[in-house]
Amino acid sequence: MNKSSRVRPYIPKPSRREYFTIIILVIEIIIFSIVSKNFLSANNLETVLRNSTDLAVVSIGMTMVMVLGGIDISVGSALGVVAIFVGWMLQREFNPVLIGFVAVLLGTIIGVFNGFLVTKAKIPAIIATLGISNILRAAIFGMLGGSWLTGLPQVFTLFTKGHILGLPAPVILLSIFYFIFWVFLTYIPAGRHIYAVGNSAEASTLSGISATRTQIVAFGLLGSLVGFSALIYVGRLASVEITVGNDLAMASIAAVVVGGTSVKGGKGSVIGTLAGVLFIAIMKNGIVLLGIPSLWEKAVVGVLIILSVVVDLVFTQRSERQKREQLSKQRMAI
Amino acid sequence: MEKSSLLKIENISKSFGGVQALDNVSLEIKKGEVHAIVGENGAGKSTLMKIIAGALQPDSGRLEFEGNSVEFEGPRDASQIGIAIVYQEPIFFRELSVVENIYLGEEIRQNRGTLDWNSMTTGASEAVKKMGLPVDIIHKTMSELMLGTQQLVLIARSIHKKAKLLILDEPTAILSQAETEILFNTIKTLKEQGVSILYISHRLEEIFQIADRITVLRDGKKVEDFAIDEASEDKLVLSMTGRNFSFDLKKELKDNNKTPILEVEHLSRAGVYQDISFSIKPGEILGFYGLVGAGRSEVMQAVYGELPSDSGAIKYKEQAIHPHNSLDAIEKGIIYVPEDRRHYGLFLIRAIQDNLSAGILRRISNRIGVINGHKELEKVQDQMQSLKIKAGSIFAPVSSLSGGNQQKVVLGRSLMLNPDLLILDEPTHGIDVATKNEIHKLIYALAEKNIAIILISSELPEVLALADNILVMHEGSMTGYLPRGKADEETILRLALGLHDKKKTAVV
Repeated sequence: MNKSSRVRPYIPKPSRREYFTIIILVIEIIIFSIVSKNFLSANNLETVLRNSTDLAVVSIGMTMVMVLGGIDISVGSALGVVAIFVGWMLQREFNPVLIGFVAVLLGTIIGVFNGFLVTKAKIPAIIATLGISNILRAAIFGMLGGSWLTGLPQVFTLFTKGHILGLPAPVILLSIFYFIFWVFLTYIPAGRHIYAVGNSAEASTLSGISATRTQIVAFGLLGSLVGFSALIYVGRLASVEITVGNDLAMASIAAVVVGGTSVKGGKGSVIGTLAGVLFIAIMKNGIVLLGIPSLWEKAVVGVLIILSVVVDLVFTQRSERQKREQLSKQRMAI
Repeated sequence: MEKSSLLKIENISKSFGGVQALDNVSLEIKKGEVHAIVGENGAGKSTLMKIIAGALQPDSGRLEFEGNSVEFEGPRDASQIGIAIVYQEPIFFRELSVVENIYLGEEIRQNRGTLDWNSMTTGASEAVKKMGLPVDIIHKTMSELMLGTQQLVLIARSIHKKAKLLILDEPTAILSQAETEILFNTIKTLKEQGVSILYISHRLEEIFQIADRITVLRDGKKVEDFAIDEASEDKLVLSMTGRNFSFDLKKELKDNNKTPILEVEHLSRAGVYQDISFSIKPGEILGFYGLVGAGRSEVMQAVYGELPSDSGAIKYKEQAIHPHNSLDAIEKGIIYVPEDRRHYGLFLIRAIQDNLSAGILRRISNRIGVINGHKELEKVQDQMQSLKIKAGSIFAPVSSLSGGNQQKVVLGRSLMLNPDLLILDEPTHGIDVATKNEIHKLIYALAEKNIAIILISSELPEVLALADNILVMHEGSMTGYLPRGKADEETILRLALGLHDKKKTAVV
């Protein structure tokens, strides 16, 4: 044995599957820059980013919940409810810091409640959050009472339209969020435990990791991020419509899956998710730039979701095959 | 010098349903001792291990660890005081790295509370080095590793957590020769450090290599307890069998001049079984005996088409067949009755009627595919009567039946398909004695009706009472093929353990 050889320090890193998404994202960008003149313009890229800032923030939380093997389809309705509260407070000219605090708190409460339904009441995540989603959607109808909130004060506009240090605000905002959650999932025990529980609740319990607590934390953090995204949403549109957040859950699940998080849980990373969000956003943008009727947008996203799962399968099958070959080589050696 | 006691087990009993898995077992494990547990399948070894590891709670009896009485509510309680177990089918984080599998739950943290990956890298590399594994595997996920390596990593984890008692359940079953050597060296080192090891294995030669004490279990009872220098293979085999059993029923051995219905020649599947040949005639019962992992079920899976063989021939009704799946086999009259009836045999929440008629729905439907309800009811009731299935109503869920009656339902469904060759995998596993007897009678009656029966069983008395011929397997090879007249418990168990005794050469 080679004693002098030092071991490369280990740090949890994205897997090949996530790098794959990054590679196809780069290829996508290259292709669109060639076929469309307008694609690479600063203006266009900023618009793409601005329109997906709230989606990108929510998708961080969705990644954590999906790594746990769960799902949350109530994020759109939850964002709607919080956005209405934000709108009301803006109309009454509350302190922006207080509004931000209330928004995040409200989102967190909804998330934690989802977490309790899943862990304590043992309702499957897809059913629990479907129920909550419908209840919140009804609340949105009730709260808006048929009239939209429009012409809201442009207090949170900075989050999407502003520039900080000469860079578009979404770039700064997303960099901060993704960095914080990368650290959380890599260096903080509570974050790393999400992967443990997603792999095996049984092994986690045996190692003294509480599966219940971990799940509630993940749903709660997703809720906080949804709460924050409501601020971004209001800042971007300066209004809250009855259809607020209709597509959000499906869009963020799509981004997370395209980003390489396993639907069965246990695998995935926020870096992959960011690539997934950008890949889908750029694809939609490209469709518009190329003058393809926008009704194709949904179909393309649908195809992407299914393809992602097929890619997952190819990756697993390849590693299984490598293992079998190694095994038969071992047998031959004996 | 007398070593001090680490774990005392006193009068532990445990039953599942009507089956007594452990009956008043007492055992003492000393510090720094390698204590082997041997016994046939179903002797209660695994149940005992699970109780010690806190995964099961005993019905009665007590445990004492380092002089203190302990009670475990779950595995976590046992692991906290220093009892670690590596199961045959281990539990771990598949998609996480080796480092994380060793540390998660007890991570090294820096002062500010963040994970200290550098220290964990160092710790994990030392842990795997001790098991003779290459250091760079710590970056890989468990799913990328071979079964044997996974096993060694989990043992490394237990050692790293400073377990005082390490329970290993058939650890070498999936290890290569080289890996086994490493494991044995580690066991020796651990022993010197005062760690105790509870070691379950079928491989007697291994046990003689590493154990200090051997306890023999049989039918849930402790039979004997040997210091290693008092023990010998002969004594162990005698102690593992040596039971006084009486069967009211013994199949009559008759001359059978029929042509074989199934002939299997030189069947092999790489790494699973090699060169298996046998034949069976209508009305015959062929016993398939072997210990867990011997490859019996896999050979049968080739016959009914679920797991193809690499080479060899299967002749059925004098024609070569290549069944592709079990539907193919059922069409031909070959029916397999699986071992794990709760998972593979029954539709648990469905009614008894549904469970019985599931296979024949097409046969009792009219031309446009509507099921004839009267016919179904009639057939189901006939079958219930002929099998004496005891149930309140045929509409009761099958989960409400006792284990024995559930097994009859599984059998009943197979019989409704009119099989010519019936493969029964452990048909009396986990069934109380009275029902066992009934099922034996039933098997006997089926053979009388000219059905050929292959009986895979881990219960020697059962095989000896029912089978006309007995095929014995050991680690994928056929070690014996004996007519019942020439077989006795000891001979068969020796063959199954792979002890090739020159005095008692098998009739192959």
